[in-house]
Amino acid sequence: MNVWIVLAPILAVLCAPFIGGLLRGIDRKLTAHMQGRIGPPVTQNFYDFLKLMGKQRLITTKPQLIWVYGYLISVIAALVLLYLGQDLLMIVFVLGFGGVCLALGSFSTKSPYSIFGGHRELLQILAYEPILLLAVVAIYLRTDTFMVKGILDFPNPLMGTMWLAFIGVFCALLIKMRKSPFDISASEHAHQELVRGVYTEYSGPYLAIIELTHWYELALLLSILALFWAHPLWVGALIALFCWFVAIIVDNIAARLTWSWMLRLSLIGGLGFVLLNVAALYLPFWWGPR
Amino acid sequence: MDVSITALIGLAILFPFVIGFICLGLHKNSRARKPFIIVTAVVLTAVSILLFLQVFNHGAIHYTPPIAWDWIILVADYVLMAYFLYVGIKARHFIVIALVLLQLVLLPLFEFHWAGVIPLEVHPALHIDMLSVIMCLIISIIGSLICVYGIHYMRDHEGHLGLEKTRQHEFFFFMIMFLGAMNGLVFANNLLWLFFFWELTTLCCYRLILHDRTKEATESAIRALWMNLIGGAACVGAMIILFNQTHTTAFLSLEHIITTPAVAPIMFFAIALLCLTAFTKAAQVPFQSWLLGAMVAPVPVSALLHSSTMVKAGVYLAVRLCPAFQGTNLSIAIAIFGAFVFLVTAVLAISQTESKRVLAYSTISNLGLIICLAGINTPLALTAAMALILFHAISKALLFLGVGIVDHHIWSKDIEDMEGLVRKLPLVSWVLIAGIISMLLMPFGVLVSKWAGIEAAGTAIGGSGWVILVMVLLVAGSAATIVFWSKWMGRLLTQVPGVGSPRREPISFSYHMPVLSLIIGAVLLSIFIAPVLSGLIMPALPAGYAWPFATGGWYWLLWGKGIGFFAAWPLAIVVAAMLVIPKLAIKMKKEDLRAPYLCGENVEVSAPEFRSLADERTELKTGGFYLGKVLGERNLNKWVNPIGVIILVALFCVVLL
Repeated sequence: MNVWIVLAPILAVLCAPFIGGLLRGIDRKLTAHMQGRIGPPVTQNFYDFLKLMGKQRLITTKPQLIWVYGYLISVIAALVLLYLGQDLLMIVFVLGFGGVCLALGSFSTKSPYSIFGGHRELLQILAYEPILLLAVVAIYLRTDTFMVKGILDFPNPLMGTMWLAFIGVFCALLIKMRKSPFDISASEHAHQELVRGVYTEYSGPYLAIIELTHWYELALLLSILALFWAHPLWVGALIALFCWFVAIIVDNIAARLTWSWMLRLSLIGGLGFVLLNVAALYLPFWWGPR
Repeated sequence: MDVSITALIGLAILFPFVIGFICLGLHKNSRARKPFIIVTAVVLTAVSILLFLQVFNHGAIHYTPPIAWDWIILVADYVLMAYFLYVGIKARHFIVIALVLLQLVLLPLFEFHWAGVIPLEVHPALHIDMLSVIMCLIISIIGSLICVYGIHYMRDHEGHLGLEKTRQHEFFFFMIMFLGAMNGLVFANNLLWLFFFWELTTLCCYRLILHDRTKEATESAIRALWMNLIGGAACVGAMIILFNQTHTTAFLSLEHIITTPAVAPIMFFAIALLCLTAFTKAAQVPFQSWLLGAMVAPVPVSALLHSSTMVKAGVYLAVRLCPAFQGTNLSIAIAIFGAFVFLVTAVLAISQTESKRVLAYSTISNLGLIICLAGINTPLALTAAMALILFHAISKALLFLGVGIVDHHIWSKDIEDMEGLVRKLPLVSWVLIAGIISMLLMPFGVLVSKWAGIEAAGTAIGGSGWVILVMVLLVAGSAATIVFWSKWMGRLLTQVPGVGSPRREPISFSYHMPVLSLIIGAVLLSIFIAPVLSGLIMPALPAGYAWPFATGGWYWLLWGKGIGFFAAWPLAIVVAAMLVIPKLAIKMKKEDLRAPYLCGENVEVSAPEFRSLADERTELKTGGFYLGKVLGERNLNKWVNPIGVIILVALFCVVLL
């Protein structure tokens, strides 16, 4: 058992990019099919990554580099903390730090598109961070623990009593994935007015690092969703994959929102769902067997 | 009582008064003042550390000075009030006059008529426990660093204003005397003494805001005065009610108030009045306007009085009183009030372009969080509150001093004018960035405290459903905090691609020594947060509050059940890696630099220009988001202030019901 405590985070760090990268590849394939195209092979993202890594290093300013690495390292740190079974609230904070790094990287150059994207990224943080924080507290109210390990040890699936909070968290993850209709900081499909928002000023190996970070982030977000059905965990994994599939469909049928709509939707809708769940936890009939 | 301990207490309180008067005397000779200021810094630092060791090893100190001091304070009280009355009459400010007259009627009635014993003695007059020591360390060490910084700052400041006659002697008189007054305030157990020192800090605050004598300064000073006088009047009212409980001085002892369970609702009313006193000093909504106005004062004043120490007296009193209202509705009302202030001021900070106003709003916001934690009133919440008092003092002082240095280079405090400062003034910009990171990001004490605070609120929901409301306000405020800090940091970083390393600005001892000490302090205390908590913060928990977690396993990640408190140093390594990797591993050459994306219309790589209509060279301009229309003061204050008043009124109603 003790071996797993050390092995789980190491395996997570090693495997997450492959899972994340593969999912991004499937994402592209599915999206292409929905749009009536053939689409690239599912391994295309790995080729892209290798191509980008092999290119010359070009930057606009040096502080950019700090924040690119900060983004990568903090997402990996959050993943490691999660697989160490650590405090979920801290994991959300560390993940928030990643978002801040991405925004700061885009602020580091006097480039209109990138700075625009950076500000919008901050608004996205403003939209998803409260939902995630409150959801963690809601989970605490159900399980009496903030620790991921404690949540895994909780005998009943959280989904039974926490599906409202789950919807809220799913909203937050849509925003965090920066997919339509929440791709307001970075335009998933290269919309014109933003160019590529926060990513505009990155190229070559640094763009590759950002891509790699996205894979980690995807794996991390899906892992958090899976926590809602921890016994057996494969059900949780299937639920997470289903959510990811829904996210792709939403991405393809929804147009980008303005930031004010995003804030309204997340702070009233998303936060509202979690809050309803917290209130519902006090209803006598809501409690399943503990 | 050991003579050496008496000497330490005497030095902590009286020595700054002596040096203050010496500084006032040396009004023509600013050179001669300098060694006195540095000696004060050294003495106070040593005294505070010795006091810490004494209390850490031998427990709380109780001390009652000779009765002559009661007489001195009695007389000084009326001298202060007479001065405030004079100020009110001279400025024809009727609110000030009314509030001073209220105190001038109530206090003599109480002292000479109702009480009948002159002077009222309380044993012990001074009570120095770990909480007092935490405050004393902050006041003495951070305060001293700020005074040292003031030496250079005030010279530049007056040079820039082009004054004919220097007013520095007055400035240092009030700054240094203030340190003594604050030490007295946090040591006082006798409420009458607390009240005296409280009014003395109000005096220092008033005079220091007034310092530049501009119209804005005069208006702000008088506003700060009357708002703080409300607190003073509330304190007098509380003392009268407390005295009437037993018609003895028993309840004028802070220790007695918090160790004796209150029964009569009127007692809670008195405690609520003391909390009102605390809220005015901590500039909570609806009193926030005095702290924002106070930003006209020179930077060392903002750093010392309006962020790291004087406003902390308010939250100190709230935390001190915690055991007295534990488990009551008053406690929950205080938590909701604090959380509300935390959220709204963080949101208001987003719309501010002036850096000092951002800092002021952030200060009010953090004080709101501390008050909220005091209201949540569990051992974990109080631990978080006290840790936040410490870490916020360090980081905020650092940020104010950084802004001061920037101001003396570019003569502006506007965040938009700080665009690309990392290139123009690399040293001080990275100081500011370090300060912001220490307020905002993960391995640092402020975030760890905030995290502990949210967990404390989460664990308290079981006790009362109202805490859910507190929780929602806290999570939203926490996100808003990220936005305004990152935005500011972003403006500092926004630079035009350039070649060659930027030239570092010249270093000055009295500017950079305090600033760098504060950075080192913030980093070290954050990394060693486990010993800081177990050696300093948790021993300060009041009697009856169990330590919220074991500190044994603290040097490694915890696998506890329930609440996982966290050793910050693994994350410190993560951040260090992020800063060091690009610096060491990646060598960039001139030819690797590219111009930002402007659809190919760039004039050249390191010129912020593009070709616009008819190929005309046009300057590229970027700016920050402030969302002023939605989140601006004009739009929000019409909601924020009335709601603040309503919650305060509700707080008093809850007590009486």
